[in-house]
Amino acid sequence: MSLFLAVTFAAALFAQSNTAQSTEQGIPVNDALVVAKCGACHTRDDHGIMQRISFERSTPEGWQDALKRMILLQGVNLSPAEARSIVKYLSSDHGLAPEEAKAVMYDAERRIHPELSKDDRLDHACARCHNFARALSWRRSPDDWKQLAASHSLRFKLPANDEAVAFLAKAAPLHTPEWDAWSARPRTADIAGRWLVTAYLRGRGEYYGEMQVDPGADGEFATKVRLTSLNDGSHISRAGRGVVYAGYAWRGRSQGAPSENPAPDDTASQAREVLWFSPDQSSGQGRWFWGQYQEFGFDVSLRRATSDPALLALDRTAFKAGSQANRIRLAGDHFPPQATPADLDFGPGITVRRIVSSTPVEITAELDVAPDAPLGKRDVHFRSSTLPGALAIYDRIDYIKILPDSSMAAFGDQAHQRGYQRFEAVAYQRGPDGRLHTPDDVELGPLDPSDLDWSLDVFYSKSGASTDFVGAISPSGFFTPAAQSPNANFDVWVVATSKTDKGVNGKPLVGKSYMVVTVPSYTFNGRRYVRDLDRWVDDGAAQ
Amino acid sequence: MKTRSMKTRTMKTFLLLLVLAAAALAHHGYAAFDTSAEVTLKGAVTDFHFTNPHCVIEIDVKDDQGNVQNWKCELTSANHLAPKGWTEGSIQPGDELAITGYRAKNGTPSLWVTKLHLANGEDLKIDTSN
Repeated sequence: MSLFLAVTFAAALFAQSNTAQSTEQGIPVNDALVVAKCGACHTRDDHGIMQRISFERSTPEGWQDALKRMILLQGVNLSPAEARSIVKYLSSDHGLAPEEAKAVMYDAERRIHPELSKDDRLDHACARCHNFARALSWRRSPDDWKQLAASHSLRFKLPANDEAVAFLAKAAPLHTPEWDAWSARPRTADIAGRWLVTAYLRGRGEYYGEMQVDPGADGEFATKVRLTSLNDGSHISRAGRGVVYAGYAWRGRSQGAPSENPAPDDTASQAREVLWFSPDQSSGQGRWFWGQYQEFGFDVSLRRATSDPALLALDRTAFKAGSQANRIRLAGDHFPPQATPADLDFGPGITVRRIVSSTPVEITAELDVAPDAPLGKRDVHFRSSTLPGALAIYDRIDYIKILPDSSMAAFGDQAHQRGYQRFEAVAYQRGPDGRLHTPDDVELGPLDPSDLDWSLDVFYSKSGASTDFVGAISPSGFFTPAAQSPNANFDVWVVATSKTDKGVNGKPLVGKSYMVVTVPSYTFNGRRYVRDLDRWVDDGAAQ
Repeated sequence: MKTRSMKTRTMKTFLLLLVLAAAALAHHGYAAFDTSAEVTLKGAVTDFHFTNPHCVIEIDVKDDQGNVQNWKCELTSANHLAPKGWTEGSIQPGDELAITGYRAKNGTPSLWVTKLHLANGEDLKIDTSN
């Protein structure tokens, strides 16, 4: 029996077998389109309980994948509008509670995220092929987890793993207090209006501004964003649209004004938007991302605009104890026409000398830091608006960390664009325990790229050997892989050496990041594999 | 420049986020190392990288002539070591270590670690899977 037939047969068999599932209360399916399109295999009883579907919950991406699978393997025929409608219904009425979704947002946000072992049993099951977040983006009844495992065993020729099923049934059950509470609430998205935005783009720094959200047709929202760089004052305007699933899960797209010969990390690039809105819809956070491997992205935070002054961001993240006449810019909203030093509070040991300038969205102030100002992070206040832990006071930089500390880039080929990487050097001071790289260390913020020398060091290479064959790193820490694939992967150190800061040993501070520069695709044992975000995906038989 | 085989390197990449998956898929990252004999290095740590797909300890090792050479000693991934209690602060610059392992075939100062001893004689628990 071919794999296709085997999977088709198994899926149909599982869909028609709900004897075991009847032991747990399912979630009724009341959407006419879902019943019409899925009911041929997933029969529905008088209480609206549909086989399989009533015993599963997932994210928009989870249901989208399920739908794709049904279309490819079961021949389900759907128009794009029907598919969108079904995904919206299922991810709302058979979705995750906001708290459940938040834990796995990094998957939807396409972030390379270290996942420490949840359980050895999962290592040998789910993690063989995909990240834990993909499994934990679903909630299922115990019997549905069993059926999923059985279909996986058949499709991917995996041994049965009852322990993994038991783990998942306990860790990701169909019914949870969070879902019970969330599903009982009205989940209408009411996000129209003006939002205050901060957005951080590695290598370009912090932006602040606003997003106007307006309701559109078919439950969509239209967005207009205007941001200002705290680094150089440049502006970004973007327009987009999107949908809110389940009352909190924003999925959209946006784009700025196209420029001639844009850089790969051009801030006007068309981006996918994934945001998580808080249950009270007063704030949101997520990522706007783009790139062949989604390697570029703004880390975005939103809060609803009010008529009160709001402090959003600072252009400086750290000052040295004992430093005088430090300039700092505060970005915000509804600052008063004449801000005074008394409006600002930087905590003990910091004196506001004067307000240099003030507008409704920016204040420039001059500060003195006492030599004995307490070291570490502190909150910054503008009247009643607070930025928690926004500023650090330090006595010396103890080490620098290069972010991302582990990453991948990709050579290009005829079918795949290159995968780039942007690096940033972040300064740290030891914490009270006096040891380096421990949880009490204090992050001081990114170092100015002009204070750094960037270089590459290929693993196992002779000292002084050329690194041109893997690519080049710019003076600002932007890695561009070589144009042609050398048909091998290479492990590379990305090295930043400080021009000004020295360690306790008197040598310049050096930070290193581990980057693997990969081929975009390869063939092994007659199968073709293509690189996805952080792993290789079987792309079928090699041609 | 010595490069590893396509299979070795692609599988090594696969390790980036997968915990035991790579081992299960027969990752052979030892290919760059001479596994026929172990050597032991003693020296002071200059840096420790607790990262994926491999953790790396850098130590300064003095040879018989008194010349100091910086060695890069590879361990398994941070994902593997974290469940054994390792953190990025487990090894500090200046720590004296004795590290046993397989050295790189091409003669560069690189080592695949098989044993790790602190100056006080304590062995650190490692995972030798690649």
